[in-house]
Amino acid sequence: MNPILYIRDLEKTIDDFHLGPLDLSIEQGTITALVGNNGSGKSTLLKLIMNLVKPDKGNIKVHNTLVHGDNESWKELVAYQPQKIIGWDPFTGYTLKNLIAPLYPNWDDKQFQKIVEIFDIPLHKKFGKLSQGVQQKLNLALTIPRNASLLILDEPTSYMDIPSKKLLIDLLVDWMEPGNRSIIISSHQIDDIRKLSDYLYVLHNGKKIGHFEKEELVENYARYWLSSKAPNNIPGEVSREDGVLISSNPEETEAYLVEHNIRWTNRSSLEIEDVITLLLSKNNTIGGSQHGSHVNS
Amino acid sequence: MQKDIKRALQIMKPELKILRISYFWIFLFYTLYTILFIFGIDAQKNRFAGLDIFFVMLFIFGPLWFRPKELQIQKPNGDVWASPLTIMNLQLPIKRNIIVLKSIIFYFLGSFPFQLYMFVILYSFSPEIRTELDLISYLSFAIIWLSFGIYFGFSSLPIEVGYKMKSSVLNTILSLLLLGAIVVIIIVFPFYFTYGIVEWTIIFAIKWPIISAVISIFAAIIGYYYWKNKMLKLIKQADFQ
Amino acid sequence: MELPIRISKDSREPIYHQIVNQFKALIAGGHLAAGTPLPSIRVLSKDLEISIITTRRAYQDLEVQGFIKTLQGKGTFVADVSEDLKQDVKVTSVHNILENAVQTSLSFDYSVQQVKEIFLEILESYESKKGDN
Repeated sequence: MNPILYIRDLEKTIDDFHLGPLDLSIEQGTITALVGNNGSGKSTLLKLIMNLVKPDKGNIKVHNTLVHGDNESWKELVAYQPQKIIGWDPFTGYTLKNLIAPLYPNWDDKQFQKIVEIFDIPLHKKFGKLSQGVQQKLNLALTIPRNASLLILDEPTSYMDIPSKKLLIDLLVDWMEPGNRSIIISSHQIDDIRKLSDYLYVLHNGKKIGHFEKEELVENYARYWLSSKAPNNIPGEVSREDGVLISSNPEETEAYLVEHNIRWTNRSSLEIEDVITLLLSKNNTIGGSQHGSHVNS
Repeated sequence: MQKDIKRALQIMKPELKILRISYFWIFLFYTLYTILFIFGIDAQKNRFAGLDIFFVMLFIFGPLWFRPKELQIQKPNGDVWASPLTIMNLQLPIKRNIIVLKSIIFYFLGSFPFQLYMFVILYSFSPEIRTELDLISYLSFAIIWLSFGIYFGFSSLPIEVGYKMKSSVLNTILSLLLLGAIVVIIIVFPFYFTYGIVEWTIIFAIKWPIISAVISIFAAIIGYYYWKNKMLKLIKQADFQ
Repeated sequence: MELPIRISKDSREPIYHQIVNQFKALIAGGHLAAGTPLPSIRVLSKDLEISIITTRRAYQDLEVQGFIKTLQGKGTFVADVSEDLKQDVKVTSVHNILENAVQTSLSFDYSVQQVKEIFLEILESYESKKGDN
């Protein structure tokens, strides 16, 4: 089966920020969370996929069509919700819907009405006059019903209230039901990552940290409460604090502990947010601190 | 082509709604301008180039002055300038050539009908014009300037679809210098060439009405394709961050 | 319907295995009757906060073993499971639970003999309760 999105050797330099080289393949029916520190290049990557930003090197294909080529037919297959919406301010929800709906062959008007209703979105008000949370809701109402095979959401819920965030998760789970759709969601919301994602694509200061299946990533880590003193730099060791050792290679660590007769009273897995924190801090020293937040949007 | 225009008009609907409100103001503006011309034609005879400046500026910048605030060019991020509507359209399944065509039509609708209106009023209410030019010459005169509005006026369009320009003090100074140079040329023009620019176009329209009109229309067509291709090139290359 | 399935990420038992075993127990124990519709892979993944890769693997295992069936376009349902198979599951799950208990006891440095005594003690307490009735 062809991937819905295929990225190979992608690189882009913007001023003093360098993104890549990146490789990524998105299969049908999966949800990928794009995770990274502020300024890691998440939004830039999504804009590259949308061909809003042009790559210096590498290829991006949506359903086997090069996005930076002359064939623009792939755009019907992608619904993109940017983090910062440009150009919508002077228009009402009605006007925007009348513009957007006819552009997508699979537009689902019933679903649009449903989302408008559950989020209680006023359609007669100008977009620019809405609060940021309501703007995000309207944006979702105008993006999800496009029923494109790839849905790209760039921090879709950052201003939304807690109940609405929960509603959105259910909406997206429901939306995925046909099984041939995919989502890429850039998010700092841990619930999005826990409840929605199958894969995590982790970026740090423009570099790819990895592309992980969620459980595999968590299984790669374990926390041990050591009952006896142990030397430094045990294989797999990532951190140690007050006799609590975190390992990114439990198998090796345990082999070493057993071999050297070091006992532990307890072993537990890590929460996904702890793993992400480790992934993004471990690499802090590599990236350096010269990167500002200029590529955040 | 017809299909493309239909598509462009379809995606222009939201913008036209906004333009509708501005239409009243543009109408008023052109009316006042025309009155100014009618009264200023005498002064023109005394090598006063102020009218030339107004005339040229009107055809180059007029359509931009009345652009609603929400549709004005901005620089969202980085060095690329664009209309917010261009960025909005690029995020949707709208082909780039349709976006370019839409920008051109939108500009055209905000300028051409009013310029045409101006020429009709000018002829109807200015006895000086009617004594100086017969109908054929006047038509030629109008065509010269309406065409100018296209091959010169469209030069303000590329910035709508992704024009890379660093905003620096140097660039600001340079663009001010360019503007100043245009004004100076217009003012100095009559001293070297006896008549002002507008006056010269009147002379051309009287002496060679057909040739002037044909050349102008030809220039307008070439101008249209030139700017359209330029815009297509820009929209393909720009980084809309 | 939210299923009473709880996974432990600390357990050494793979997550998909935990799901398979708990489903089997629910079906064998009669909590899930034949024909009961089950949540879709995506919904169960959300509820359990795991990826669909894991959930799909669990459903595939259950289907291969005949505990559930998928009807194209309709969803996934509890299959008709024979009494023999149900018995097998019951025996296996009881066996597993007891074995876990024994392992835990041994890890607390009890001897096999001591564990046996504790076990018999518990059994006796249940027998006496039965006698009271």
